[in-house]
This record gives sequence, structure tokens and C-alpha cells, in this order.
Amino acid sequence: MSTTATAANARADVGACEGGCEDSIATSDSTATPEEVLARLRGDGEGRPVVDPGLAWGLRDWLEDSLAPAAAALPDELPALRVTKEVLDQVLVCEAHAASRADAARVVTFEMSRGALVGALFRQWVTVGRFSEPFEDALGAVGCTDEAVAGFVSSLERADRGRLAREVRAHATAIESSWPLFSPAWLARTRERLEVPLAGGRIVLGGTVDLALGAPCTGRASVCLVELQSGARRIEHRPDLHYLALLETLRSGAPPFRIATYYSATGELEAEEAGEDVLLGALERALAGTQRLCRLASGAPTDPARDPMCAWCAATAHGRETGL
Amino acid sequence: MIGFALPSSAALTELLLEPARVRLETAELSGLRIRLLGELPRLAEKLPPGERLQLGTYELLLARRHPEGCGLVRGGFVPSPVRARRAIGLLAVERCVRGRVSAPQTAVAEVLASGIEELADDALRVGGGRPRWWARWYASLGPGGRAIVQAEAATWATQLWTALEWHRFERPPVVGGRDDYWDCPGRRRLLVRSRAEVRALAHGRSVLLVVGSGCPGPGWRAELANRALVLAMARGERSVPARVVGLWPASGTVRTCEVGIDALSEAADELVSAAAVWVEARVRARREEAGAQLRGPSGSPLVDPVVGSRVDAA
Repeated sequence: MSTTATAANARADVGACEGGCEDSIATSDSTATPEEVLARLRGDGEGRPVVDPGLAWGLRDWLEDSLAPAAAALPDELPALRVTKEVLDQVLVCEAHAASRADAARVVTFEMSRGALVGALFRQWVTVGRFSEPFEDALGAVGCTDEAVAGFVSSLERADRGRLAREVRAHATAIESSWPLFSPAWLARTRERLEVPLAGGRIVLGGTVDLALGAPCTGRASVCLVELQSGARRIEHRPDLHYLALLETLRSGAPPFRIATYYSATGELEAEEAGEDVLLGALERALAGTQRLCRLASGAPTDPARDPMCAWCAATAHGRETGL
Repeated sequence: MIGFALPSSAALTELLLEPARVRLETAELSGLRIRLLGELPRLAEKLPPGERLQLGTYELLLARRHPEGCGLVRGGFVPSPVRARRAIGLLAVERCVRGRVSAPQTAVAEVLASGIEELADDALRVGGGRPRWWARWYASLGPGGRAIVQAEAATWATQLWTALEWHRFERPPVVGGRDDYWDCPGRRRLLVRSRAEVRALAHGRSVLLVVGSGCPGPGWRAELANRALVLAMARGERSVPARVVGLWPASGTVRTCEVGIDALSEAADELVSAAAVWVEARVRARREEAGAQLRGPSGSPLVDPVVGSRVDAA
């Protein structure tokens, strides 16, 4: 069951956030309080589920068996096929888009840089529980972790840089007012990497969790995962979160007891349990996407039926038609 | 043991504490020593004049997985939060193990603060001890950069701290400690380095825990055994650990290498072949460097490579 942390979330116009989050933050009073956030992350107070040790093995076997033929068809000279939530999202929406993006250079956008800066601030809050000057703090952080974003920000015109700074400060305010100070006993890990090698390492399912809380499981589910989203709410955010829950289950042998997405633009926190239905859905989705990725990596042509919902395909078709 | 899901701290501790399963005979180790002392100095002799080769885990991996990368000139070491997390994280876990702090998050904050304090002390003291290698860089960062360093180290330290039941060891394990070096005899041009995150005692024998990133590659056994090989060569038979356990937290993978002659021989093969790859890469790089000096900016030869006389541009 999915629940949203805010009482007044209906008022938050998350759609208006894209490219202009400061407005939605400034007018929204939907930000969850630290007490609400903690309550959502802790669940309803009932005992945390006992872990079925066979579940993770079963899921892994299912993946291994189903992916074996696709992995066997991968050319030997190819490095391991790395599957991430972004790649899965792309290939499941449109193969042509995914194939075209496979070798494309990373292009930093305004939204992407805002995401990186807000992500750094979230880590700072979790770790030290304070900001000095949020935009400067965030710049200092990406300065030693992400040269591309740091370069992009320094190349911005004064007006755009000012807009970015205002947006980042607004997100920082939302984080500050939503999240409690973290107790060291919660064992918070930020940007924790998860990897699941399959088919003898030919395929690696990977991902990074923005925040993991709780000690590793000893019989009862004990870990809580949180994903941070600085942009508008998107349909793929839930499957992305479920994918990370699947990776954590396969890696640690136990599912997380709680998974959540935090929207720093509105201060909303959406939390749910990672039950078997969630994990099975995530597995089937990961399987379908990985099989497509294997097929593409083996040199098969992309599905000729372009997805009418794919903005990239629409743009390229328009480009062809108009000669642009 | 091969594990595919992160074992509980109890299971991993149990694994480390088990009695040795494999025996290593003195004669077997002597044979291996003779072999390495024959092959490695011969390879090292081929290094270009004045060059010295240091082989650590990274160099061994690179030689196996991407030998073409061994010839590339690497820039100087640039500290980053990811590169510093192990060093800071180990000091933090060490504090937790000694009971000085109860959580890695607090310990990391203390380690970083003491790193800066040591810098100040160092400035006042004449001829005193050296500050931590990361301290000056860390001190140069603003609050945001420092927070990311702290976050990276806290995540790393928490993974290690929660991996074991520390109270179950006979004596508190050594966390981190100095790297081990074996200076290959001869003209001392080849140095082999290894490191382990945790060194503990089990039934009177040492055991090692090594923390890796990502997931283990196909050469994981030799990679783990290399730790034991360096100790065997540098300090002799009594220092050889009973086992080396590898933990890859990101993938929840555990691999165990029981140290016997088979594992050590595998590590020796890997070491010799990596040394050969690196020596060849260094020789090639020196040759290319010399070739470039003989050519002008346009690429045309300034010196005829056959007769050795200068070619006039006219």
C-alpha cells in the first residue's frame, strides 16, 4: 500500500515544477514535517516482516534461468551488459531511443544540474544536519564529485545561474523542514551502490540508492530505502524504486521493510512496503527490459514500431520530415 | 565458500573464525619462493634504466583486464571523496572496534576533525609526524565538499562496521594497518604491495578480510591469494594467513580463499604475468618516448633512424 506523507499534497502542483520549481515550492504548504517523515518511514508500528530466506534465492534463480538464453547470445567480446533503472526505463518505452542513447555522450541540462546539486544537499543534511549557504555548499560538493555538472553551472549566464541558485535554495528549505536530524544509530548510508551480477557476470543489474537506513537484516526486514527526486513526479519513479528494492533483496537476501520516494520540490514523501507483489513486478519488468537490451547488444535491429509516446522518436521523425 | 547474498554479520564472522582447512608445507612454500626469485628479478632487469615498478591490487587488475591500459601515462594522484573514503573509513571503524565511539557516523566526524587538528599541530611542531594524506585536501574544501567526504566515508565505514560481529574475536582485530610490501631481491627494482581491511586471529593463525568494490571478477581467487603471497614472501611462513575472505558489499558477494600452495601458486602466476605485462608496457612507452624526441613537431624525422644524421628540412 502506498501512502503520501502530506495532508495537503493535492495542492502541490508538481506538474508546474518542471523548469520552475521555485514557484511551486513558494506557494505550497504541503511539506511533510520531520515527525511525519519519520512516521512514514517507520511504518504502522506493527512488527517488521520476518524474512523468507528462500525469497531472494527464488528471485535470483528466476532471473538466471530466464536470462540464460539472452546472455548466451551476447557476443563474447562485449564487456558486461550494465543495466540501470534509466536504461530500463528507456528500453521499455522505446528501443530505438535506448539504442541511440547507448553510446551518446552525457549532456548536462539545467534540470540535471539541479538534481545533482539537490542530491548533494540531501547527503549533506543526512550526514551533518546543517547547511551553511545551500547553493555554495552544493557547488562545493559537485566540485569534487561531478566535473561535468560543476562545469555546466560555471558556464551558465548570470540570470540562469541566479535562477538555479534560487531553486536549489528552495529545495534546501524543503529538505531542512521535512527531514529530522539523523541519529548515528540509524546507520544512514547515502548513495549506496547496489550490483547484482547475473549469468556469470555477463549481465550486471546495478543502481544507487540515495539513502539507506537501518542495520542489515538478521531475520526480520530492517532496511529502509529512500529515493530523492528533485524534478516533477513521473510515472517511472515507482517502478524505479521497486527496481532498487529488488536489487537490495537480491544483494542482502532480505527485502527492505519500507521504500519511499521523497520529492524535494514539494516536500512530499511517498512510502510503501516492499511486499512480494512489488518485488515480482519489479523482477518481471527488469527481465523484460534486460532481454530487450541483450537483444540490442547482440546486434538485433530495434523494434520498428516506434512508440508514439516517445518524445525522442517524435522529434527525430519531425526532424526527418522537415529536413532539420 | 561462495556467497551470492550478503551474509549476516554472524555468518561472516563465523567464516573468518573457522580453523584452517588447508595445510601449507614448508617445502611447498620454499619451492614457490625459489620460483619467484628466479622469474621476477629476470623480468625486472628488462625495465628501462632508472625505472622501478610497483605492483599493487590495481596494477594486477589492470594487467589482467585491460593490459593495453598499462602503457598509458597516468596523471598525478588527485584526491576525491571516493578515493579518500577507505582511509577515513578504516580509522573510523578502528575507533568503533576500540569502543571509543558507538557508531561509524560519529567516528567519521571525529576522524575528520582530528585530521584537521593534526594539520594545525604539524604546523606548530618541528620535525613531528606527518599529517594524514587526505587532511590538507580535506581542509581546503568548503562545507559542501567536506560534507560529501564525510558522507562517502560514513557509508563505506558503515558497510564494514555492520559486516562483522567484532566482539567475537579473541583479540580486537587490526583494522587497516600498514600496507604490506615485498621488495623483490636483486637490484630492488620491483616492489609488490598488498593490503587488507581487517586482520584478525583465529585458532592462532591470522585471517584477513578484504573489501572490494562492485562485484568480484573472474580472477578473484588470485586477487585474494595475492595478499597471502606478499606476506609469505616478505615475512616468511609464519605470517601466512589461514584464509583471505573477500567481501564485496555492493553486490553482497563473499568469496573465501583458503591459503594453501594451490592458491599461492595461482597468485604467483598472476603476479609474474602482470609483471611481464607492465615491464613490456614500460619498455614500449620508453621506446615511443625516444621515437617522439627524434621527430619534429610535424612528425617528420629530425634524425635519420638508420644513419643517425640530421635530415635537413630543405
